[in-house]
Amino acid sequence: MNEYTDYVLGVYLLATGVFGGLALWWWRRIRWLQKRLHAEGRSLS
Amino acid sequence: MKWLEKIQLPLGLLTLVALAVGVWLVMTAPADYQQGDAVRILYVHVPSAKMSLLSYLFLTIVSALFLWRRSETLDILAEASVAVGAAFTLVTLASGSIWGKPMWGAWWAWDARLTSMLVLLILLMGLMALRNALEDPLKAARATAVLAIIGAVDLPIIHYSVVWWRTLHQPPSFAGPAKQAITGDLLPPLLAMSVAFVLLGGYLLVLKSREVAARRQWEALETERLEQGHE
Repeated sequence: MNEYTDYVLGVYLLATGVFGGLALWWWRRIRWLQKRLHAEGRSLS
Repeated sequence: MKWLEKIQLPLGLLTLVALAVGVWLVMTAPADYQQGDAVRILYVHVPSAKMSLLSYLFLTIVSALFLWRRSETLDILAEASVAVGAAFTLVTLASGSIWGKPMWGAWWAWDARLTSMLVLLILLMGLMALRNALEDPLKAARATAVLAIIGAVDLPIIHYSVVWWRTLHQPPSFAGPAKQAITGDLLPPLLAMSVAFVLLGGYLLVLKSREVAARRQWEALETERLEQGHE
């Protein structure tokens, strides 16, 4: 790959950032909410 | 929503394997004779565009079912599919724009396909804003379901925009009318990435649905506590 490498890399990094970032963010939010609910004696339904 | 927790890990692992296979095929596929290596952008752009439409189709179905059955699970799935759909639509528009610069010589054109896709992103953002603007959760759920169903009119416009109007955007990548569909060496990576993106969409939907369900449970607990405090 040497032609348009910057554009191709840019798209793959963007897609990884958006989808990977969202997955990580939502996964951490679930864990955080789970912990808070657990502290209140509840569990995720 | 316990079933979502059960499928989360296997679906996540399957998605990672499918993405690894897809990226490997993308990297080993030959460059296009006209587009050169820029064709590799389309292996993200086309599956992402398909997922934008599929997410919205799913949103329309669960919204209609919600208005009929009034099930909270359906509303949770609707809220989650708006966020997932917005992510795919954003990546579709951004990757298309990055592909357009070297191929068309412009980041953006007010072409029918691009414009109708932008309308979809604005609609999804509007659905998020509407849900957040209404305090009563049932009213918010109903209003967003109705708007989502009305907005579904954009789906055939997006899909047929390249057929109905003279556009800069090329015809459909799969089975285009003028036999310009992608075939040969370029097809395996596109198909592999399409399968991987369907799995990715499913995985993101599971994650976001669980997040929405947990957040609602936490908010209900806080409301309950506030009401007890007032008594």
